[in-house]
Amino acid sequence: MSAKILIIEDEPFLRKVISDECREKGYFVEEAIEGKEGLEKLKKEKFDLVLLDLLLPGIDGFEVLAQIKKDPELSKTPVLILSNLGQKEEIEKGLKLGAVDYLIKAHVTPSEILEKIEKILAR
Amino acid sequence: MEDKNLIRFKIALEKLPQGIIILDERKRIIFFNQKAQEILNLREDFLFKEIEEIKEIEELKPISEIFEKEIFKIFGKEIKIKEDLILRLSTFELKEDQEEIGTLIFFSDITREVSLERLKKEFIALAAHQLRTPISAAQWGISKILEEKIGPLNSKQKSYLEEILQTLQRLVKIIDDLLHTTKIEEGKILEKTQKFSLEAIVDYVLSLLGSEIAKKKINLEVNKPFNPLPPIQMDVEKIKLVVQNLLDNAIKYTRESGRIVISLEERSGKEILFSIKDNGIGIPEKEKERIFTKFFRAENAQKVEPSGSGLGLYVAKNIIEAHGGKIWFESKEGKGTAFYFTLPIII
Repeated sequence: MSAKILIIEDEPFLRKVISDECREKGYFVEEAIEGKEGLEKLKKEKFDLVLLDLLLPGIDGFEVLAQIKKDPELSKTPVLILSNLGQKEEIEKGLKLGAVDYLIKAHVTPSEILEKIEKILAR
Repeated sequence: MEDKNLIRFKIALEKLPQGIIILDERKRIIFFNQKAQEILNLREDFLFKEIEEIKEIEELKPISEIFEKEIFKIFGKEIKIKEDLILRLSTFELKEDQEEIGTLIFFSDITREVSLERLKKEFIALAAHQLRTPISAAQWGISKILEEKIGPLNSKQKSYLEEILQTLQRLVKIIDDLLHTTKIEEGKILEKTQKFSLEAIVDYVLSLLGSEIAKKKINLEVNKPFNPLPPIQMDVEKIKLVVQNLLDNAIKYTRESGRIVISLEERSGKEILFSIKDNGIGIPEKEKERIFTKFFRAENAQKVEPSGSGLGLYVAKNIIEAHGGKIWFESKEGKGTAFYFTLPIII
């Protein structure tokens, strides 16, 4: 069975490009625009990985991540941060909160993101 | 005559653009000037009051707390008096023959500077993020087209898209440089240092820029000593950035089929010397003095590469100096440039 990925990203084109890329690789993809929507979807069904943006309308990605890690049902789901915030403080905060990795959008291509996702899922 | 001089001193203190308060040995206010009165709303009846009484006055609370503790140890400290009043304050002990006879306190109102500085930082961080997002969208879309996931491309379409993608990457680099510059100006250069090998950093940067070197058919020579060099205490990401900036420049400002030589050597067990020499366009004599200045770009460099930020060398110099090293160069216009930096070996 193919892995299920939840993409939480508010920028429509970025969301489309990365979802397309994931679907082309055979993953099942669900999308969320806001943090709250993302958390609701996570509670409804099980995902194998969450791709998380940080600056989101409403509750931000850090808060979403903190809630995922607090919830015993969800805490084992790997979260990969994909954001354009890239200051050391933010990266450290994301990793400390329990993200498996932190990618800066402007520094990676969609194929590189997919490589990372494959590696995480293979663990 | 002496009286007249005393009056001169008094007027000078009175008119100083900084706030001045003088305390006696019992920490009673014996003098304040116009500026101090203006900034802190001091009144004549505060004079000669005991510290206990001063503490009761609401607007003097933050200041009287300073009177009480660590009063002699303050130099250029930022003190928030209230929401819209921030002072930079220093104190100075007044002594006569070893005997303490009072304290001089001087300060200025830096509220405006502090808020401007904060605005500037917030603006840059936000601008960096807001700029990166549309650039990422373009980058991602173009990379997908380039990988021919959407459909086949002819070679001309491919080369155009590659150029566009590179332009976007340069734009990202400029934004990154700008962020590094803000960090430097906040005094936050070295964030996490660890022992690391400079050779490994050179290898990493070469792997990063290898395709650029190959594309320009540059003849690259790397000289490392036979025995591995001792590790250096460094902020790894920052030193990577320095080596990357220097190699980036060498590649950019060297003609096709040019030559770049990178060398690493230990100097008398005290430091490691890194050098990178090219036979590129060189730095014009009259512009040499300004080469490490923020935003400065040499005229001939602008012709070769119109879109640089002029921040790479400024950032490099600040990083190397924060590590206790030195950075310099030798250059002849039209012949080439050699950049050098040293990093101290700390055992």
